[in-house]
Amino acid sequence: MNEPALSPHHRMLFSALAEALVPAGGAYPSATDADVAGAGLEIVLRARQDLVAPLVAVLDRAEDSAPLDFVRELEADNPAAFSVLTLVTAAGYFAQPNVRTAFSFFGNEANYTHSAEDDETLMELLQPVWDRGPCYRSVAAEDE
Amino acid sequence: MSTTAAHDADVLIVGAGPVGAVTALTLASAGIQVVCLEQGVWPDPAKVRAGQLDFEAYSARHWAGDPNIRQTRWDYPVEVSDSDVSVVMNCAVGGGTVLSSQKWHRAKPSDFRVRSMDGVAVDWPFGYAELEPFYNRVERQVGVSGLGGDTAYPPGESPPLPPVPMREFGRRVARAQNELGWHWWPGSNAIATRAYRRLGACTQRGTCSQGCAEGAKFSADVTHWPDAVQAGAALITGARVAKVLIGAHGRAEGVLYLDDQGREHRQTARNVVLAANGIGTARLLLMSADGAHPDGVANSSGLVGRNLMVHPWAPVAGVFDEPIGGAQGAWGQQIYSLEFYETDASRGFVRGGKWGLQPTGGPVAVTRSFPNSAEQRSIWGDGYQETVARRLDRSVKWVLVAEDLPEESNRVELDPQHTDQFGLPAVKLKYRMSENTERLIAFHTDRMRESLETAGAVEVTNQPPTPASGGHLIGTARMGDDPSTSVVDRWGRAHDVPNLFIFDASIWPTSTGVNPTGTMMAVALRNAEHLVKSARSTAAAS
Repeated sequence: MNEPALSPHHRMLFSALAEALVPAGGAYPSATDADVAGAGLEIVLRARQDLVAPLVAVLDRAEDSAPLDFVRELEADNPAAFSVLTLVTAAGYFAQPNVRTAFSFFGNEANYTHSAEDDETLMELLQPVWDRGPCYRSVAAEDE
Repeated sequence: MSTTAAHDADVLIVGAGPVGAVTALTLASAGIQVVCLEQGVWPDPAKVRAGQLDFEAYSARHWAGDPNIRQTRWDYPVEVSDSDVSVVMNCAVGGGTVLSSQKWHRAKPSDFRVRSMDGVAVDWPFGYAELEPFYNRVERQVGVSGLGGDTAYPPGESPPLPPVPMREFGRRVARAQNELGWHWWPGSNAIATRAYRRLGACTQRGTCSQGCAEGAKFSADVTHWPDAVQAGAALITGARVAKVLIGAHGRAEGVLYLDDQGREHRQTARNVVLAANGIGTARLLLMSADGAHPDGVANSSGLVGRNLMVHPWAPVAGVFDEPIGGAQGAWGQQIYSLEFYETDASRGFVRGGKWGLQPTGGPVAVTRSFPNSAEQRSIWGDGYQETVARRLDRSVKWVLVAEDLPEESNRVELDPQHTDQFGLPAVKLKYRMSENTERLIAFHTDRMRESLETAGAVEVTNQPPTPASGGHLIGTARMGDDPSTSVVDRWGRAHDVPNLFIFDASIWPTSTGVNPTGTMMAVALRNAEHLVKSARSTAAAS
């Protein structure tokens, strides 16, 4: 498998845009804190090499713009390009261990929940439905 | 281009999705020699990435329902610039069941009598009672989970497996429905809640439409094709059918298909069954036009490709102020509601729809599934992380399956400008939502909002109808008794070509307001058994 091709310059541009999209200041890591432009980007582009070209196209357009202004304009004017940028950013961000810990979401692991108590609750919840009785339209007897 | 000929088959099936699968299994088990041609290939287990770091990024393309996004070599392009929706379909062994979330339903008795009861569209040539035994058998084949006794249906056989366990979000919304006095019922899904035949047991990862790691979700490549092949059916993959061949006496002689190198083959058969979905079947009939059939094969009525119905999906999402388990769970439906399914003239529209309650998914999904367009407010920048945290595991959505009525102007055509990689015409979709559908969606989404608010949601978003909601492809080769107003008869036999059959949802006169796979497979099983009887009586007579 070929490695994703993003130059250091493009990586720098992406880092600035990702930080504008996922900034510092709250209780959660920023894009920079999560190394979205490093390890996060690698994970995403290795899985989605088809995103390299459209991402580079977005980054080339961002060259001389203030990052926040650029992403706002892109969101308003070019939803398809904005979708590429934000998918890479969000997927890279949430692939990082410190982000997963912060959000207490560790991926789509097996997560089975069920108990006998749940079955009892279900039956209790259904009682009003049964009490209301059948609620379908009758058709001719031979069709039912 | 050279043409090679294959051995004659009793029955040739085009398409290895759920309809082709149940047909092949039925015919092969009855000792009939079956060949199935499938444009795609077997699903690749390496694409199942549930739990991996790149899951959401990877799935966004490789498990995309829209072939224009997925862009595998097996897909054909679908041009949608004149359509309110894009399509969701899959060229593969298993077809759409590989991607489907597998909410499972039977149609309701009134669905078969829309003309008689509501004065619109047309009735089906048979009713619920005739189909019921086939529902029972198909549900045992696929391993449906659910709870029998739903008050919104006539009494009948219960699903073979218990329903998916209810999470907190399901309990909350069920209580709200009770408070409102509205119908709800534990979700029915083609998801195995216990190990069942070839299926594993669901572990509630919530990745049903992006590859089930446990193999718990019904998929026809798992549940049907191994048995069909074992019974003697020949399945040829990577075979794109280009033309149905019609002989001098007006009978189907077989098909021409291209293999994955573009080499042309001729497969002959005594009977041909099309099971390529509401788009692929119409496309093939139209591509088969020749001097004797300038408008396409089986199209003396002019209805091939017309009356496309798609079930626009309209979701309403609710955010709660504490965790409710909404990030995961079986991605089918926790509960469903048929409260507003039947016609009530006071609402200003006819027919109705079904609501299915489902999780909202992981962090990327909750970033992307609450479109800014609903509120004209970006979630990016300051507060992004807090917004995701507010939604993640704390949100849920009702998704409406809206009954679409047939309109001749909604149609599938051959695209005069685009082709697939071997030069076969792409499809052009012309689909506009009718005023009835728009009113239906507005009413239902307002009621869904009411339900979630009653359940305690602190924020509710009515999303616009999902653009990628052309996943139920119905109506483009209507079934009926009159050859001037329908393409096939009540058994799926083409009025114009006596040994050409269509078994997929193309033949449905109306769309129903529920997820269609159950009815697709029940109709196919019914028709396949009738074909077995016909073939045997023909053989006995000759």
